[in-house]
Amino acid sequence: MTHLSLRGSGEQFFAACESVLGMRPPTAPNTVASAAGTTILWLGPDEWLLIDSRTGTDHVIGDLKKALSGIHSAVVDVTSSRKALVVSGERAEEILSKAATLDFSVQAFPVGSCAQTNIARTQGIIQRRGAKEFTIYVRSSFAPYLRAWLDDAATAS
Amino acid sequence: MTAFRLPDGGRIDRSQKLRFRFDGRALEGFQGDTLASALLANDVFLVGRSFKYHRPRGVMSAGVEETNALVAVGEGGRLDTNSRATMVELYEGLVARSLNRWPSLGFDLGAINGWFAPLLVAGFYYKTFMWPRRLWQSLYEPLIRRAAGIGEAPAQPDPDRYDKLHRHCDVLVVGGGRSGRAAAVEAAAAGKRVVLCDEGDPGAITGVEILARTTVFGYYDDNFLCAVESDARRQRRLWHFRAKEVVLATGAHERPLVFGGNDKPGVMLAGAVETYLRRYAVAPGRRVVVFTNNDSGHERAKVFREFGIDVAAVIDSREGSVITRTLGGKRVTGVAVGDARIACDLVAMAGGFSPVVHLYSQAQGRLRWDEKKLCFVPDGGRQAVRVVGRANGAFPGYGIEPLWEVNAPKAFVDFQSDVTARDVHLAAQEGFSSVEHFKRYTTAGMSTDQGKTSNINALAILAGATGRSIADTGTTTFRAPYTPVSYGVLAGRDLGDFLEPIRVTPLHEWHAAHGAAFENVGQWKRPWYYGREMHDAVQRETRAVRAALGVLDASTLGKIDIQGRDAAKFLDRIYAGTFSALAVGRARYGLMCREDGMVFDDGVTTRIAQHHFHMTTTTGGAARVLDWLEEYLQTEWPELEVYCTSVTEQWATIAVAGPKARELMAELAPGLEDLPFMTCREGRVAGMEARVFRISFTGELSFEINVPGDQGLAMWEAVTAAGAKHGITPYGTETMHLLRAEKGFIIVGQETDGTVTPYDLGLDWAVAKSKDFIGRRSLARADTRRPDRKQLVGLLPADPRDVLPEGAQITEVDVALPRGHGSKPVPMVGHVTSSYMSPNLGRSFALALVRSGRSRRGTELYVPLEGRAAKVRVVEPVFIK
Repeated sequence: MTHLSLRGSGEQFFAACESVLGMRPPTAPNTVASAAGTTILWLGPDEWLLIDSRTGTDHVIGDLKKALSGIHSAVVDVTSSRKALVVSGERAEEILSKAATLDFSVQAFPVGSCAQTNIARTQGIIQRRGAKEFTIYVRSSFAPYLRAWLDDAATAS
Repeated sequence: MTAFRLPDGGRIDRSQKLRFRFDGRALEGFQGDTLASALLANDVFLVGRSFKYHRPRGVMSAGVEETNALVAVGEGGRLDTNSRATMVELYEGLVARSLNRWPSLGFDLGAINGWFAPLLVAGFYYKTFMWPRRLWQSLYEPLIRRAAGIGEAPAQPDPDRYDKLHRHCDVLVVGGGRSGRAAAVEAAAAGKRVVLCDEGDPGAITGVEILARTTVFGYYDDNFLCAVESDARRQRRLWHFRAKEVVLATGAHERPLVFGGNDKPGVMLAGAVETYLRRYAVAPGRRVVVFTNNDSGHERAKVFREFGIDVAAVIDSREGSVITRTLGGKRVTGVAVGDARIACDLVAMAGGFSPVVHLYSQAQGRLRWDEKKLCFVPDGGRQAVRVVGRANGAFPGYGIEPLWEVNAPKAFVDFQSDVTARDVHLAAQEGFSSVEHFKRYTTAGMSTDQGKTSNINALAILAGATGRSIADTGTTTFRAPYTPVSYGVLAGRDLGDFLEPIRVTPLHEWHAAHGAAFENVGQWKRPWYYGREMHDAVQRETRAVRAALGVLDASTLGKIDIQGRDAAKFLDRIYAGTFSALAVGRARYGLMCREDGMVFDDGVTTRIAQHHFHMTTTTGGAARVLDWLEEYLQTEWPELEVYCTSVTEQWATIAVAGPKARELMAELAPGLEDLPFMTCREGRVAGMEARVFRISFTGELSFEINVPGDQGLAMWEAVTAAGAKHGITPYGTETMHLLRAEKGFIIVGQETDGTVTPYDLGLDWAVAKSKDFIGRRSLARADTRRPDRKQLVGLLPADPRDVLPEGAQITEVDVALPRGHGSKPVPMVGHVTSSYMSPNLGRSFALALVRSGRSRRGTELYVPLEGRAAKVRVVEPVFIK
C-alpha cells in the first residue's frame, strides 16, 4: 500500500503520469479514477491523492519522479500520513451526515466521488466506494479520535 | 371547580391515565394532553409569576406562542427550565414546577415589586441603577442578577444524549397544516426530495419525509435552516438543512387585546379556548366573556356555546364597547365594561391574526403592512422561498377594525417582560420613536417568545403615540431562534473527549505504557515528563541528557515538503534569513516574520536536493505556516514554481540527545555518527530507511531520526534497546523546555507574543541584510529599532531557590504584589517568559522580555510576588555555553 501526494498541471504532466500509471489523474472535481489496483482521488485542480493498493509497488514513486523530471510537479510519499476508516452498512449515509455537512445521497455523491471536507472536528477525504460503503482518509494523528467519534455516532440514531 | 374535562370528545386517550406533579401536587391527565391542558382540566389556573412585577399568570395560549405559562420540567440533570406548558407533552411521572416565585406560587414575596410598579417603568434599569457608583458591585448588580431572568439552570450534568444531523433536500416544507401538506404532496409528485417539519404530528404523506415534533427555529443565508426535533419528553436532535427551495406554511398567531388586567389567569386567546375544547376536551371555564375587534370573536362564541359554555357577553369594540379591566386576584372573576360589571371565569381575546413571518423575516424577506387585514404579510425576498396559506395572509377578510389598546392601567403588551401600554407611551414621550430603540429601551418583544404575541400590538401603540402609521413605524428584525433551543441539543456529542480532537503520535501507546504524563500542545498529546511527580522526573531527565543520553518524541514538529524550480527563491522571501546559498545536505535555522516584522514562526529547514527542501515548524504553528505559504504562493507569487506538501504526519521524529548520542548512532547507523552539525543525510538506521538530521534544540550533541510514521514505534524501540547500555532516558516537553532555555533558545509563543521582532530576541544573525523578505520593511521602521523596546534577557534570582512564576511582571522598585484596591501604580518594565529550576546550574533561572533589556545587563530588578518581591539580576540569556 502506497499513498502519494501528486501535484502538477499541464499536458506534459498528464502525459507523463499516464506513461507510468496507465491512466490520467481525473480532472473533474471530486471524482476518482481507478485501474488495476491504483486509485487517484481528485483533491484540487493540481492536486491528487494516489493510492496504490498493490504490494511491491515501491517503484511507482521512483518511476513517477523520473517521468516527471523537468516538469513542474511534486510526488511525495505520504503513506504514513493518513489512515483509512471504512463506514459501511444501511446507516452509512446517516452516520456520515452526522459528521459532515455534505449531501451524501447517492444522487449527489455517487459511487466514484470523493471530497475533502470537515468531518466531526477534524478534516479528511471521503470516498464513496459503493451504495452503502464509504472510506474516510484521515490524518493518522486524528484517526483514534475519529474512529471513536464514528463509533459513538453509530451507537444511537 | 370552574374548569373541567368534557365527558367526551378530544384527541386524548381516556384509557391511559397519566399521573404527574405540579409544585408538589399530585394530579392526573390523559395520554394526548399537554401539561397546559392537564393543568386546566385540574382547574389549575395560576401557573407562574411574571418577570418584573411577579404578577400571577396562567395559560394564555395553546401553542408555541405561550408567553406566560413557563415552567421547569424534570429533575436533576434532566431539568428543563422555561418550558412552555402548552408545548410539554404529558407523560407518566412528569414533575413540573412553577418559576419566579418565592416562597410559594400562591404567596409570593416578589409581588411587592407590583406595589413599586411606578418605579419599574420603561427603561427602569437605565434610570434606577445609575448612582452612586459605589453601589454597583455591592448592591445593584447582585440585585439585578437575582431579580432578572426566569428559571434556573440545572446543577447536574445532563445524562441524555443529543445528536446533530445534516440533511439536504429539494424542498423543505415548514408546517404540516393544510397548505404545507398540499405543497409537500405537489413537490413529491414532481419527483423532488421533500422533507416536512411540523411541531406536532402531521401524519404520513407518501414520498415525503416527515419530521414530527420538529421546530424550524432559524433561517439563514443560502437556504440553510436549523430545526430541533423532540421526542415525547425532550428536545433531542438538531437538524441542519440545506434546501433548494423552502416552503413556509407556518400559519398565523392570534393576537391578544390590550386592556386593564389582561394578564390575569383566566384571560386567554379565543382560538386557544377552542383548541382546549376540541382537541383536549377541556373547558377552561363555565362562563366566558368574549372580547373582540373582528368577526372571529362571534364565530368563537358560537363554538363555545356548542360545547356548553355559557357565553355571558361578546364585547365587540366595533360596536363601541370595550372591557376596561378584569376583576379578581389570582383568577379572573369578571370584567368591567364601562360602569357595568359582568361576572365570568374566563375571558377570550380575539384580537385578530398575525401571519407567522418570523422565519421569512429571518431569511431577509420583506414585509408589507396590510391595511385591511391589519397584519404584516410577506412581500418578496431574495432567497428561494415561498410562503403559503395563512402565513402568507391568505385568509378571508374578517371585518377587523383597529383596537390597539384600551386606556387603562396594567394593560399588558408584552406579558413576559411585563411591558404595559403605558410603558410604550412613556418611551415614545421620552423620544424612543425608532422601533429598534424602543424595543431595547422597553424590552417589549424581547421575551423568550420572541414577541409572538406582543410585537404587533407594541408597535401599533408606538405608531399611535408618535402619530405615524404602522407601515411607517415598521417592525423590528425577527431573529433566530424562533423558539428556545436547549443547550444540550446545541452541544450534541461534542462533549468530554469529543469536545476537541485529541491528536496522538505513532509512539503514543509506548509513552502511555511507560508512565508518561501528557501535556496538551494544541490538539496534540505530548509526553510532558515520565513519572509520577514532575519536579523529580524533570531533574532526572535533564541530568540524563546533559550527562549521558536522552530520547524525545519530536513527531509533532510541523514538517513541510517544499519543491520546485523556485523553492529556494520562495524560502528567501518567506524567511528572514537566506536559504538560496545553502548547500545540498545542509540545514539552517530560520525565522519567519509577518508583514509587520514580528516573529511568527521558526524552525530548521534543510536542502534535500537542489530544488527540494524539508521545512520544520513549531508544533502549534504547522497548519498556520502551511496556510501562510499557500496564501503567498496563490495570491502574491503565483509565478513561482513551488509545491508545498504537509509531511508532518508522514515522519515520526525521534531525537536522541546527549554526550553518548554519537556512540549510539555508530552502533545503529555506522557512518552516520560523524554527520557534521547542521547537516542531513538519508541512510539506514537500525535497518530502516531514515532521514537523519544533526541538529539540536537542547544544545547537546543530538540527532533527529526521521522514519515513516508507520515505522516510528519500531525505530523508537530499536533506539531505546540500543541505548540501554548508555542509560538512555526518555524525556518529555518540560525537560526539553528547560534544556533549551539553559541555552537561551526561544520558543515562539513563549518568548514571543506577536509583538517581538528578531532584533528584540537578539537574533540579528538570523536576519539577512541584503535581500528582501516578508516583514523587512517593517523592521526598518523607527519604532522597531527603538532602543527601549522589550528585549530578551536572562534573569538570575538572588535566591537560587526562587522559581519565578512565568508571566510575572518586572519592576525597578522593590514592591510586593498589591492587595486590594487603592495601591499606587508601579511602572512595569517587562515580564518573565520562561522559568525553571535547573539541576545543571544547581539554581533557578529565567528568560524575560525587559524594556531596554540588553543595556540593563548586570543591573538588578524586582519581580513582585505575594507579600514580597524577588530580587533578580539581569544577565545574558545563555546559561550553559
